[in-house]
Amino acid sequence: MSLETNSSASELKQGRRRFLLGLSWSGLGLFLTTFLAAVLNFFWPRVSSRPASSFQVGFPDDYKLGQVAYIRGRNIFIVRNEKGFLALSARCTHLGCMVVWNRDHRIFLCPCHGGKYDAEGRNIEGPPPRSLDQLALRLDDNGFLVVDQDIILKRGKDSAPRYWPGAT
Amino acid sequence: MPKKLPPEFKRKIFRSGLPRTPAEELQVVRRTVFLHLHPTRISASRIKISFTWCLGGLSFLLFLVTVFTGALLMVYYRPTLENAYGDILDLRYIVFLGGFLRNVHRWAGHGIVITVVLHMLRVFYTGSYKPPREFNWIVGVCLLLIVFAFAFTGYLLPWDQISYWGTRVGTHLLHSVPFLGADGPFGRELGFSYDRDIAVFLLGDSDLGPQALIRFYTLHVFILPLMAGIFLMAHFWRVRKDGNLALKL
Repeated sequence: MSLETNSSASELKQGRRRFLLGLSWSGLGLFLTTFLAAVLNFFWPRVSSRPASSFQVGFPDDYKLGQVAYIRGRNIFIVRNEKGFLALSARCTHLGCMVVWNRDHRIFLCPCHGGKYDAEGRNIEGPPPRSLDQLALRLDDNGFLVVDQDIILKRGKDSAPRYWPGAT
Repeated sequence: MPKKLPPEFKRKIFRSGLPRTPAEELQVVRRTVFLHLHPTRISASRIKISFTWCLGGLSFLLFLVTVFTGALLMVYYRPTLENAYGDILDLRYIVFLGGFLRNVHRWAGHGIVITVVLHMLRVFYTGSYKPPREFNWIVGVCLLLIVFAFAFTGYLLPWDQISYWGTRVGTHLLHSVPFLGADGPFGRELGFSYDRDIAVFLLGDSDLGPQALIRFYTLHVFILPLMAGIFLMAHFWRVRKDGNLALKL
C-alpha cells in the first residue's frame, strides 16, 4: 500500500518535472524566436532610398517620332513610335543589368549576357525569359507624361504592348 | 654587463620548463593555450605525411595570407561610395607596397578557391569522406560555402564597373528564391517586388548601393572570418581525431 503511494508520488514528481522542463524549453524557444525575429527585422531597412514611384518625364511633344529616350537616374526608356508612347524598364529580365539602346540596329542590348529586345521591348535573342517590363504611363493635369514604376503592365509573350496614345 | 631577469619571471610565463619525459610533454600540450587546441594524444600513423598533396594545408596557408594582407588593406580602404574606388586607386598608386598587398590578397583569394576545390576532389576520389570521417566532410562543405561567400563579398568592394555589375547579377539571383523573391514561384502573388523582397536583407536597400557596400564589407572582414575560424578549428580537430588518409581505406 505504502509502496503504491510512494510510486504514485514519484510519478507525480516525474510529471511535474517534465512539465517544468517543457515550460523551460518553451520559454527558451519563445526567447530564441523573438531574438531571431529581431535579428531579421534589424537587417530589413525601415527607410528606403528609392525615389517616389511615379514621376514626370516631360511633355509628350518633347519626344520625336521614332525616338527612344533614356531617362537618366530612373533607369527607364520612353519609346515613341507611330502607335504612341511606351515606358519600358531598362532592367534586363535575365539578371537585372541595364540594357542600352542601339540606334543603328534598333534593338535594346544587354551588355552582361547579350540579351536582345526589339524596339517595343520584346525579347528576341539571348537568355532573357520575357520582355522588358512595361510601366504604366499617363498624362497629368499639367500635360506632363507621368510614369508609374510600381505598375507593371501585363503583356503576353506575343501580344503587342499597350500604348499610351500619342499626343498630336 | 647585461642584467639577468629573475628566474621566476620566466617561470610565470612558461609554467614548466622544456619537457623531458613523454608525460611532461602531455602536460605541456595540455597547459599551453595554443597547443591545447590540439589533441594531447594521437597515434603516430595519423600524423605521417602521406599522399594528400597538402591541399588542405595550402588552403589554410593562403587563408592566413589573406588575413594578413586583408588586415593591412583595411587600414586604407573605406567602404563608402565616395571613397571605395578612390581608396583602391590610392592603394595601387600611392600607398607603399599597396598594389603588391592588394595583388597578393587577390591572388591568394583566387588560390583558396582553387586549392579548396582540389582538396575536395582529392578527399572525394580517395574516399576520405567515408565513416568515421563523414561529419568532417559536412564541416568542409560549410567551409567551401564560406569561401564562396568570401569571394562574392570581396568582389564588390573595389566598387568598379565589373564588381558592381557582377554583384548586381549575383544578387539578382535572390529574386528567384521561391515564395520570398519577386521572380520566384508565387513571389509576385505574395506581393513581393524587386524593391521589397528577400534581396533587401542582403542589400539593405531597394537596390545595390551604399548600404549593400557596407554590408558586404562587414560580412567580408568580420562575420565570415569569424565563421571560418570556428569551422576551421572544428575541421582540423576532426582531421586529427577521426584519423587521416593513411587509415582504414
